[in-house]
Amino acid sequence: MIWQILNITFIIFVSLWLVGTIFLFFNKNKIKTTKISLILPGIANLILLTFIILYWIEIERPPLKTMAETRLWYAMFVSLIVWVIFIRTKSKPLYLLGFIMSTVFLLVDLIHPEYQTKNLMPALQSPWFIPHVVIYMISYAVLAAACLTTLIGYYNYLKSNTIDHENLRLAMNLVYPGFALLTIGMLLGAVWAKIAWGDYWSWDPKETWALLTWLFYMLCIHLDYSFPNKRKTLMFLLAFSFIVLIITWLGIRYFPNGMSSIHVYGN
Amino acid sequence: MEKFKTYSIAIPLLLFLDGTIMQLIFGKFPINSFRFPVNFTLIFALLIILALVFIFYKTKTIVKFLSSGYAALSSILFFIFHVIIMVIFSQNDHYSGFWGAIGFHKITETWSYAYSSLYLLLSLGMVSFRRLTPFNTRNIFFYFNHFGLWIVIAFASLGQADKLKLFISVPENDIVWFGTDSDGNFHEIDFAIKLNKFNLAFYSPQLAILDDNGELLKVKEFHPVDFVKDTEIKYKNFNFKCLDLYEDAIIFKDSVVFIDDLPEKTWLGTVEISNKSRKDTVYLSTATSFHPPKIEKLGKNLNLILLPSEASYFGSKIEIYTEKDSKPGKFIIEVNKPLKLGNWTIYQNSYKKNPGNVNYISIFSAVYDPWIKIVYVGIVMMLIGAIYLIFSRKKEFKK
Repeated sequence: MIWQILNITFIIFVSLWLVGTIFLFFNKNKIKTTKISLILPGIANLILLTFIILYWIEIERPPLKTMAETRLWYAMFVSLIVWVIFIRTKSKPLYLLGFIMSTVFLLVDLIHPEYQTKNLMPALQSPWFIPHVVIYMISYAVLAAACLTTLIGYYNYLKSNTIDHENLRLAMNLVYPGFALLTIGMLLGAVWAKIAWGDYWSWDPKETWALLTWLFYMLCIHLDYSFPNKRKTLMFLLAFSFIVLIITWLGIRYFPNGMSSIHVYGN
Repeated sequence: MEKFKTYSIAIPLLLFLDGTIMQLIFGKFPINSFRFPVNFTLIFALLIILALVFIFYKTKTIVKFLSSGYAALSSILFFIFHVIIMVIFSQNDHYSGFWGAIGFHKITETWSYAYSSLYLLLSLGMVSFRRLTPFNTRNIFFYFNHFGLWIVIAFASLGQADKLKLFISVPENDIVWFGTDSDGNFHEIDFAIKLNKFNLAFYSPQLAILDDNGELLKVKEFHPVDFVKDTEIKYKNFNFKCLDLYEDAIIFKDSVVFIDDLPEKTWLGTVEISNKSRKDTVYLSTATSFHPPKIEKLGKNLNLILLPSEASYFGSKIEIYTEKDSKPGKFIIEVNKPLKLGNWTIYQNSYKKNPGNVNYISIFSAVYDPWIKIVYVGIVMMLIGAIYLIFSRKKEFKK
């Protein structure tokens, strides 16, 4: 079974990223550092993507059904996104935090693998399934990068007592596409629900939480656009919005009616 | 601007207060009074009013406020407040007491929720008019985002008054021309469904371990596996190997008995169990409501079982009779593949089988949703706006 080699994939992934990180933080040769810090994690991301593809082929259904499978995608997208952002911005802290976040999610998968079945209930056998979940996962990963950037900004704020405007601008540059992808994922889900059940919106607990996440990020965008002086409020709102997002993804089962959701992951 | 700040706090507070008083006096918001043509007239009137106010009072406070960031934040926050109530309180209108009386247990049916939707519509509508000029790329996509959402909120909320969803249960070889709504009321429909055949397919069952309390074992070392021939799995000192699998079979006095037309799906599997001291083959069978499962007890909290299998496909071969057509139309309805029939869309919802009856009952849902096409227009506008939003910060990103 491909899942059995997740531990080896994990070790290779973490080792390559770790070497990249060590070079980034401790090597003085700038050109060499940049090359190694880009190439090694790039290979690591490719290896993780290959693992997902091989696993997909083996189980004969899209690996988007269980929580463990979504964590796998999430780890891949977070590491890919911070890698792309590093190419653009050369942000070292984000590089490190993104690597840690991906590692944690992969580690959770190793500890709680959940059982892997080929079964896919008829409602999920739809061409809308893959775009709906994958777009959500990309959006969650982009918004995670935005949250990590905000945390770096907050750390800088605590250190110098001045707001790191550059950092917040980078965070908002991520929030815009993240929010847009959240919108697309939600609307595709609505159209799919209409085709499958006849209702595009049914106030299912997961839908309600997803709407709440969407509204909070909408609030961030409007606060940023209309009140450019409210940077500190924006910083807190960005962090809080990500907490709402994480509850939507991982925590709704702990709220009233959470387990009655049709979106509870199969396990 | 100080004035706007006051408005942005006072308006939601007053709307909530008024909504709650209305809730206590009149009960839930009467959405069913907004059936066509009332809903369409109201939406149309709202657009005209917004346009007129915008044209004639462009420089006045009302237009400036409603199209400002203050109104945007205030209306979004007021709506968020209702969604938070929804995730904190169980949404079941049978709750009484104070929270039930002010509608917190069915927030979408409250006056306050209706007011918050209206507040969003006013803010979104006014800002959409304001951004009609100047006509440039940024404003066009801004318009798609905001007016698209306006259409979705307006037609999804007021349009639901005309929506009807009926559940139609049709036994095999039977004809049904009525359905029940979610409140259990009967409705006669203008077509009849004859179910010729209900088709159902299953995945293979799964081999699993239960503890003595009936809890499924899901640990790193062992998890349920699909019962596929020659699959092997180890747990503690045991090695389990899946051998043969028989469909619609049970074990009776140590013999395998095949039975046609069982009321439920039944599987019988043979598993080779081996450890240092034993190696033998055992029968396991899934549980149904008419016979217990065949389990192999291997020790304390170690019971090897077959889990009931999940459906991999279900669909109905049907004939539809209408007054217009002399011959019935033949169709297949499956999950995710509904049938469009005039103003109705018919969905494969679920199925059941009554005990003692060999025939299945297919459960369809027929939906009449006259405003769906306009909602789709709003959704497409929002999608276009969202695609633009993905790349809107690209230039800034490169800086």
